[in-house]
Amino acid sequence: MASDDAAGLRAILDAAERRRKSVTYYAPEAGDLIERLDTRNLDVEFRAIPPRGPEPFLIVRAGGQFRGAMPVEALREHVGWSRNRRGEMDEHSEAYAIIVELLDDTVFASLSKRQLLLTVREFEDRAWRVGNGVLHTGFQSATAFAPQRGLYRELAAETALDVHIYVADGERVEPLDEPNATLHTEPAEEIGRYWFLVFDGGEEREQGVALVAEQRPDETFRGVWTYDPDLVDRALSLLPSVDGDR
Amino acid sequence: MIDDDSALSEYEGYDWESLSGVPSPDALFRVLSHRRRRRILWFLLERPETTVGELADILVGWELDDEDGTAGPDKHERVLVALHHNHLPMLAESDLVEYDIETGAVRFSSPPEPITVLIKFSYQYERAVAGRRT
Repeated sequence: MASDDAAGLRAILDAAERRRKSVTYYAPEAGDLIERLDTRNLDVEFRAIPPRGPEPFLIVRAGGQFRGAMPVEALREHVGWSRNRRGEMDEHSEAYAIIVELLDDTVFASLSKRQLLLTVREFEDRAWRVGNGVLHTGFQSATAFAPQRGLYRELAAETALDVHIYVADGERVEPLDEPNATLHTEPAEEIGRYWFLVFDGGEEREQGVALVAEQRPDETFRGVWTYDPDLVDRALSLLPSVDGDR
Repeated sequence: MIDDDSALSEYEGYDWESLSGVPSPDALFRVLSHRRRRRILWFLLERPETTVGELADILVGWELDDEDGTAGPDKHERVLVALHHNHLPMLAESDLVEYDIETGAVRFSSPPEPITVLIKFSYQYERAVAGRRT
């Protein structure tokens, strides 16, 4: 069972890899776009085209299949990188669908502990704002959890969230007093390999998010986060343990 | 009395006597009678070796400018089919382009200057007259 659990979290990383898209970026000059897309779940290939030809554009493929083409400017406006005002984009338009699909999964090839903490904080805030639903967070050690304990107590006390905290390495951790906060310490071995956060979005499914990060020997992390509801569901179904310590 | 050739004097620098392997006038202007082929030829002036796949990407990207939008898989497929069954065979027929149906390789024939000038003119004319937004 224990090794299956590890494979479970591993499977989220693997599923994201499989969904990885390749982008061919056509423009006279590369500019900063490749750097901008660096943390996304994308392989970006730049191909220079002559000036006075088409405006810079992106071709998106997944598994070798063409998925869409969009002007670079449309992407820049959508994500707020443009000097122009952020575009008012019709959420039902093809352009919107293509851009959202392009930016759906996010892999960080390498992330410092601080960057990872900031990302996790963003997702904790998201769960806080929604205020209901189930939040699972896995810490690699009691030492990693200790500084977050106050935050999680508050999160449980102030919201209707069902909070599940997983702490690895078998160290004794005091359960939290809040009835909607459950501590899991028993599936120690596997948890220690991954840092994860999964929020089901509560009553707002589109607010769901799943993050799985794996620590590397050099102390950086490699991982993925996704807002895709199907992947979030999958992450929920793969979590190591359902029963708490009490 | 006006010299018969004076109206064409600006082209006197070209070696009109030794044009060989060039398309017939009808074939040349037929090739240039479609925007996609004008764009392909202009692109090939700059990038003489490419592939049908890259040309499809480029044309789809170019048409984003015309249509002010995005393109999905259907659009790309239509462009690819049109390239493979129509535009590239016609260009190959005119000897301006070699198209390898097996590999998808596309190679420009590097035609003599009067033709490259005409290709550039056609492209520039299109940009000027079709009111390109940029």
